[in-house]
Amino acid sequence: MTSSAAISIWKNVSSVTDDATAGTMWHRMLHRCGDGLFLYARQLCRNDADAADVVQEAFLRVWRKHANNGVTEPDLPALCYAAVRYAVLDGQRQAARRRRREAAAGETWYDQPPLFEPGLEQAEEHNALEAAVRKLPVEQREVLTLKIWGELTFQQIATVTDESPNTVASRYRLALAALRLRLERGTS
Amino acid sequence: MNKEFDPLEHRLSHLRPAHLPAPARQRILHEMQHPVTGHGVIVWLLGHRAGFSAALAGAFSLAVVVGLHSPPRSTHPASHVDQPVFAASNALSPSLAFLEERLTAVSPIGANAVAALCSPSMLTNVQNGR
Repeated sequence: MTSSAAISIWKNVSSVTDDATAGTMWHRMLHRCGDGLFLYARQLCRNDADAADVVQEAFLRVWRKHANNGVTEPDLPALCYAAVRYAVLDGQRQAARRRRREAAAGETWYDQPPLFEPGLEQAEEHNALEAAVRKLPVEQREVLTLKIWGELTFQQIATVTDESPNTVASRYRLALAALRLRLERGTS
Repeated sequence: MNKEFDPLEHRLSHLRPAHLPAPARQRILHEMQHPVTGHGVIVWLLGHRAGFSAALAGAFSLAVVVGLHSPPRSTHPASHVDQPVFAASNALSPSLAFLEERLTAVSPIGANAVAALCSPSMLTNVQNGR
């Protein structure tokens, strides 16, 4: 599939279709964190179709495992983000060729759809922020995504990424510092 | 976190992630319409050899104990009726010893209790007493 075709399909994708008020905590979780999970999967997959499949697989895996064991709603986001990461790594282990391709693509972003919903206001700032986020190293972008859009604590992020909380916090500070530097250079 | 980054964090938090594609979301919702079944128990049993062994040994020992406590079906004297039972009991002895080992290894109950349950002398007493 060509990149233009992928983008056109992407643009035709409709927005949120679930009704968060009608369902269980799992429906609320999907409504609240579905987009964040997808953003996180895109950080790791570099292919939006794969990322969507990963989110589906990971979410359903968590649901099947924890639907009847009394898991509480505050625990769900970290479980789902961890499942996304596990699903990506699991898939990569099973396909070494694909892993090499994705690792090679990890530092560059080709004709990908936007990471974020286009802002009607301050489009210039929006674009500058997104460009700066894309240029971050993968590990910093991962922590930034989990903190800002996943709304996880450093402790939860450390669990998800299998790193120490200090490492995670350090990466987050480095990411913010790099972002600020890039934005200042861009405006000056 | 350092306050100097607060404005930047605020700006970043105003970016909304692109939506999860509707087909993926619908597949998740569709899947969640079906209740989680008990297939996981079977998978767990088959996937965990220790658990499967414990369940198998427990079921087998229960069947043996229940079978020995059931009343004889015939009105003939026990000494005549129980000949085949004695033969079966003797044949079972080696497998009971093996079962005892397995039960001791995997069962949470004490080894003495397992030995008492599987003891051939106990089986003989039960058979002779009836």
